[in-house]
Amino acid sequence: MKESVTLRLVKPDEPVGAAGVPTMPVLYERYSRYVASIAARLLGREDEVKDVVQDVFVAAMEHLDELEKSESVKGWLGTITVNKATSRLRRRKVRAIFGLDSSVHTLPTSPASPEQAAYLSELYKELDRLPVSHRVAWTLRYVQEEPLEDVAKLCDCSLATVKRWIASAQDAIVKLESKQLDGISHKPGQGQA
Amino acid sequence: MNRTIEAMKQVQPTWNDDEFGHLFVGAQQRVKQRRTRRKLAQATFATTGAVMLMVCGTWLLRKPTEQASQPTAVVVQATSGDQLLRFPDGSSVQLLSLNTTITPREVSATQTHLELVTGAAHFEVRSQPTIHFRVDVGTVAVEVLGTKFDLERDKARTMVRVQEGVVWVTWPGGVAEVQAGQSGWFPPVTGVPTGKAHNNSVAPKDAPAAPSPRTDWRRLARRQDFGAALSVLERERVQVSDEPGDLLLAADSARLGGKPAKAVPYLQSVVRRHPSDARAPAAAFTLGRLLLDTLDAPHKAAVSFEQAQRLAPQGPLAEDALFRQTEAWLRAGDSRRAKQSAAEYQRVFPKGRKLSALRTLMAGTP
Repeated sequence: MKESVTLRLVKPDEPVGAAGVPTMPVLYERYSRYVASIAARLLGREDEVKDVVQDVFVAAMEHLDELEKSESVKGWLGTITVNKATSRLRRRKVRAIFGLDSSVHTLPTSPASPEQAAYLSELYKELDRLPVSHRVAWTLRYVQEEPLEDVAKLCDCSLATVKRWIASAQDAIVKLESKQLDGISHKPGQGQA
Repeated sequence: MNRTIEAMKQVQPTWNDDEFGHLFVGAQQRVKQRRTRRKLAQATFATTGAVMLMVCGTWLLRKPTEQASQPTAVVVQATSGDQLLRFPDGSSVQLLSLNTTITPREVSATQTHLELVTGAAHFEVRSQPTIHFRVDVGTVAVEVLGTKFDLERDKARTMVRVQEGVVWVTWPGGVAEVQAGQSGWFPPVTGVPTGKAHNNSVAPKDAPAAPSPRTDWRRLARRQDFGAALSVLERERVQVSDEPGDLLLAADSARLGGKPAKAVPYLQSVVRRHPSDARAPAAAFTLGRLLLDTLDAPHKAAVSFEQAQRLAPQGPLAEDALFRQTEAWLRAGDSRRAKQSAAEYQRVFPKGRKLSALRTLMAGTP
């Protein structure tokens, strides 16, 4: 996650905290979409994304003092989001083992085409089969475009480990893509995506 | 790969501002609920803690009561001549002198074991077959079962004087039974053969074999029948022994038996012949009171109060002795000495309880 210092004009009526950190409503306005974006890509289910966004900002409200000390508010919120999403993915896996994960996949987005919707649905099913850590590492690296070092930090593991996890997830996704391509190529009248 | 990545990058919540706003309101409500729950939990925890503390406190406060029968090392010391110790079974010990020290060795449901460390005491033990009452006095042990008796320690020996019942006195090398009306010093000077003593109830050689007129008046005095005691003393022309206990008892018999003037020589004997005895200051003070309040002899009374204060300048009667000395000198018309004793009082007892009374007393003094 590349963090850059941004100077911004503060509106006269914008509430600002004691340490210069904007108050919670301002933080929410500024970072809620960022948090929702990470959660959506990691989880792939709209209902869970809403829960995670709330969880992240509840944690932020309860630890506002730490937040004010934090140099990178965005990074701090990103870390909480990844942790909350990872926890949910792990719970989802446990529920699936006992056959309790019966919720319907509702993508937190409006795909451009029915084909893309079908592909994303298959993709998230495939991701659900992967170990949570592998899936999170791959998503952060390639979809969120985080540097490897930051991915290792967010996943709380070494650089070598995170590389191995990403490679493992990549293999599974390449296989999925091949399968999809084969399916499309066997369908008459449809070109390659 | 690129297709998958590009597809996933399209995954973005399509919520409008209102939906984001609802999420924020929901987050705020959750924080409020959590804080309320936390406060409730803290209140519950505090209440539970307080209840537990109360329960523990009650238990801890109750515990010493339950352990009251356990051995104790509390030292009970007389602070005035008439201090009384009472035991749960109804037995009592009256401390007869200011220097009396009694240490309870064991007070339980089956045994009361005391040690008379110094001084003299009067024991009244209730007759209870289940409770063994024993008093150690130096090398002498006195065991009783329902009786009244006096013990007085004098260095290596102990005076045992029995008013009612029977006591068993044991010492290294002997044992003796002392019956009502008998008294004696133990261990006896000549001693009693050990083997014979254990098989027979043998009175020590220096104990009288039978009650005498002298013991009779004592018994009457102890029963607070002072008039009868004084009658016996006068009728039998009893020569009161030169022993502080006997002299004080005779003085009490005379003083409280209706002839206070006859108490004066007994009290003077205690003060003059036994000035080192712990009872001497109290005797001097009593003499002063008698002379001032009853016999209207303020000059002599002032001298007696002076003696009482001099004999025990740190004693419990010292403050009263100085005050009454001032009063006596004033009544004797000696204002110079009255001022001296008043100044002495203010110096020794700058916060004394009789300070205001003293100032009132001295107010009209030229």
